[in-house]
Amino acid sequence: MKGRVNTRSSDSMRWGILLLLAAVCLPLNAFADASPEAWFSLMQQALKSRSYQGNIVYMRNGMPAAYRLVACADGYARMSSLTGPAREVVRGPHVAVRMRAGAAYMIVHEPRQVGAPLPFPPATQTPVPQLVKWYRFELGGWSRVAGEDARLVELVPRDQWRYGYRVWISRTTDLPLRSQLVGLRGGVLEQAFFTHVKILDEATAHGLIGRKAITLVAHAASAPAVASAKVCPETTGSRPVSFKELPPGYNLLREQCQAAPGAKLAVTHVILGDGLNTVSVFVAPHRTGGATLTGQTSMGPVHAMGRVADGYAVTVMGTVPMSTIARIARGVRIKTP
Amino acid sequence: MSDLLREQLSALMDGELPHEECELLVKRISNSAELARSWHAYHLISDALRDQLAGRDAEQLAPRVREALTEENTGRFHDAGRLRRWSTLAAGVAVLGLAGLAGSLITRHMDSGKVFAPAGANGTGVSNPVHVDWRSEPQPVQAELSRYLMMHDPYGMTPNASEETPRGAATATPPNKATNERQSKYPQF
Repeated sequence: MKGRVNTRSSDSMRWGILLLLAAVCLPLNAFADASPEAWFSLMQQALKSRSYQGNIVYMRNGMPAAYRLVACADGYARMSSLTGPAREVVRGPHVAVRMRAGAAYMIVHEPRQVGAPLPFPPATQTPVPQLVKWYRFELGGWSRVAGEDARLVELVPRDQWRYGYRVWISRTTDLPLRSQLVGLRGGVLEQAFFTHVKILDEATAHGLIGRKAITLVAHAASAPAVASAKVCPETTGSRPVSFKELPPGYNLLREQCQAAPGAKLAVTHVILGDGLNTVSVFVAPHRTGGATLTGQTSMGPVHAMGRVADGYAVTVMGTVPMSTIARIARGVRIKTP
Repeated sequence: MSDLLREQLSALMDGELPHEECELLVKRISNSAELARSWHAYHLISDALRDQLAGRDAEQLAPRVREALTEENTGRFHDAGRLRRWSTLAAGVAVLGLAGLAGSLITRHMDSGKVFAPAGANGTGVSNPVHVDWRSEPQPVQAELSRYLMMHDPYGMTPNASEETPRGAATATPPNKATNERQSKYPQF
């Protein structure tokens, strides 16, 4: 009897050790299988820590486009268009340079480090606990994307003020391989997917991005930052704005004085966001007969609304429902001196 | 991969596939590694042409296209006839590239807007919202919206009205030192 107890005890120990070993050997994301939030966190971590290259097919406005992306774990990345007009974005820590063939290029200073410049928005670095306030995370099934097994994680909006997302996350690399922007009625508004992804070491990624491109970004980073909104009135006549009432979850992220390529005057550019989506508010002096949007318009999933307030043209734009754009636009108040 | 699928991919690249078939094909591309590889291979060709547009030695274009196709042939393309057809096509386009026409041809093909027509919201394809398209706005408003779109989404690379401006036309504006804008030719890396 005593011997039998000892045998059972040693069997239990053996099973325990085996289970422990199996647990240690399992890939990290196997533990996250029951939690879509954990999958999403792993994806965010992978975007920060992995170097990789891949080709992306991106569909918006009813048109497909192809890009090549090389991203390095140290924050440098380069995305080039393979179709249509030559366009490139080269990114370094806290700065990005957007280039078009034969045209002005644009330097964008990023005070906060964000994910690689993927053309689909789930590549956010906003902490999941903040996102779950406005999105419900759901785990979907498995698919094959870019030759890899990928798990579907859905971000379902908790209200009507934002769109939802579906993102397929690689089982082996935790990188997002496919993404869909989902409208309020469940229709897919835009989507992007990798056709292939290759994990690289940092040195290889740097080589593919190119020394000249990295030098260019480093030079851009040392260039004067975007003029602050405080000096904007002196140089352009624009003034900072305030908001009477924002849709739930949307906060002011940044306010800056900025000019687009080809524009003679800078405008006040206010960026609002809910951690995943951003909405831009542009305020410029209203000129009679000038280019001012009045009313609502759309291009694919991007909505915009314009109105004139206190002598200023206000344009609100974002990949969010039109009702969100309209509510923000109606709440804009121009700060008087 | 069947001949029909190859034909459809080819038609998609040429902007000649009916829009109802486009949605289905894109869905299949996203679900099939083989189709995705083929799609990638076709884009290698336009990539090679893009390098030509960037000012590389024109004589290197045809070998580069052939090299890309040969690379794809190792374990990917098994249809020699199809390969020959693409090689012939690539060589033909390369000749056009030497004459300075390839860029405009490819650009027109890929940006013609014929490839995907607006589709209904069906939960599977890519659908367009029902609001008025801003391309129906007056030209100055369109231009301003396009500029704002670039500022709103600097990483987004969707072609828009302002990016369709002919080369050199957008460089007429002097740089504004008070802002973050710089003027330059497209940097060559």
